[in-house]
Amino acid sequence: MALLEILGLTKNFGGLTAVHNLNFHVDSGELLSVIGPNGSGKTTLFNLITGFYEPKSGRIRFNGNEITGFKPHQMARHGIGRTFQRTTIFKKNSVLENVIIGHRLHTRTGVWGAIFKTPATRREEQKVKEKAREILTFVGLLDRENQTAENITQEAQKRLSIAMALATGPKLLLLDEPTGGVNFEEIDGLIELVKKIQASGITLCIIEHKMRMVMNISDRVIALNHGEKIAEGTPQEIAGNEKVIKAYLGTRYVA
Amino acid sequence: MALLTVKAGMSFWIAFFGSIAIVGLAGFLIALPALRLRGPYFILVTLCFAIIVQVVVIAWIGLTGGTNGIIGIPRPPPIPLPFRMEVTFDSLLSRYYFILFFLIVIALVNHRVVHSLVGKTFIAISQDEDLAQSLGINTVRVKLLSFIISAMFAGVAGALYATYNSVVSPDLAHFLRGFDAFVFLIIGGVASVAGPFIGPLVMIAIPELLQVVVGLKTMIYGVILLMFILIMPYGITGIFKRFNPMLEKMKEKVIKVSHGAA
Repeated sequence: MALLEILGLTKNFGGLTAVHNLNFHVDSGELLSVIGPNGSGKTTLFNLITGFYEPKSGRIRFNGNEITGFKPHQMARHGIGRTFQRTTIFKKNSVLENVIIGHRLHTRTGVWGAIFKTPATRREEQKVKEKAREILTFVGLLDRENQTAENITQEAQKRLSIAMALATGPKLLLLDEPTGGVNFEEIDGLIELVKKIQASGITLCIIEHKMRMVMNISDRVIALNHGEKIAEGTPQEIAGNEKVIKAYLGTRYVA
Repeated sequence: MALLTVKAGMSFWIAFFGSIAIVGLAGFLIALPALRLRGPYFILVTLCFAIIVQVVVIAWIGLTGGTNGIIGIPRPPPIPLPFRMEVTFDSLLSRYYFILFFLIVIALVNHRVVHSLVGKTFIAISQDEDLAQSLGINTVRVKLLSFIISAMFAGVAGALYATYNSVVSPDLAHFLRGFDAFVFLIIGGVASVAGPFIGPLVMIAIPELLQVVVGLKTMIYGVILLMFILIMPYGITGIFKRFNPMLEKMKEKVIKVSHGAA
């Protein structure tokens, strides 16, 4: 069953068409990779799905609901979590606090509760902490919970940003280059994490450049170029696809 | 505050809390359009509102007395205590404690809010609004809330000032008054509970100590502000925070040592 359906999605920036008449779907439980050269519209696509951009035309359906034109926070509330290409975390907060903020949409503490420190507020704070620790254990960061987020390694920050997205309780998780900017040796660890997330029942859609990662983890792959889908299929099919090779390497390299 | 007591003849406490609520409401109404903008544009809009208010206060003589201001704002009525004692507010010292009381209350409220989930959300948005949105936080609503809370804090200050001085004049509505508060905040340190206390202490003390001419005050403010923004963007409390990791490490060592001894 399709969890996410993209129907004829188009986005312009002035005269530039960043995403053009795009159609694809993500099945429940699968891991779909989105590949394509720089500027092919991958991140724009993510920004459209998560409500940061409004599409010029086309529709987004999620879990059977029409969600086109929703605001980012509404998308998150419907169960679409995401990470950003540049690793985004709340740098000045502790690792634990970052995940707590990630879980904020499931909490209801208001100003009055905060001022009077009501029993309900205390209970909730305790519950949120437990939940955040659970997630940190899942991504393997529990031992660093009290460190300031900006002081942990780049790889750990990647894990933290994923942990924050997980804290929103998503059905679908969009990861924008989860291995971008980390050391070669650290990639396997992140691949493990992504597989673990999929095994926990969350559907994944990943933007990725590293072919090792794409071939290893994807159930299906779609390739974009100039905002249009040029290929779709299993990792093996995509790797041998003439159009994809052409888009990445140029015409000369096509045998 | 002044209008409610002198013109509308309301009793002290109703006017006191009523005026705070009105300021909160005004904050809400200004924030509604202003929060559609981000960063410097937002600041410009709020600054414009401040200037509009100033002009209106001076021009609307029927309501505000124009440049004459409003005089005769009452003091708080005595608060009865058991055993036929009562707290009165006739002496200057008693009014000092009156204001000190509210300062402590506000500091406490501030502390509670900052360390709650609500405060964490405020700080999160100030660091990265897009990220906060992606986590399902309705940033416009949260910013609106923070704007109302800070407006009400300002409302408390205004009501206290009117009570203390018993006279209000339109120069209080000058937008540079807001600038003073801004300078205090930068010097003291943004996003900290102690900052707003340290800032005014330093900034009021410095010109007093130097015994400068009034006109020079603004210039000194400017120079100090520039230095702080360039060298210490997180103000005086920021310096202490920088030493905090060192302090924490020392604390850990002390704890380890004491555990070892036990």
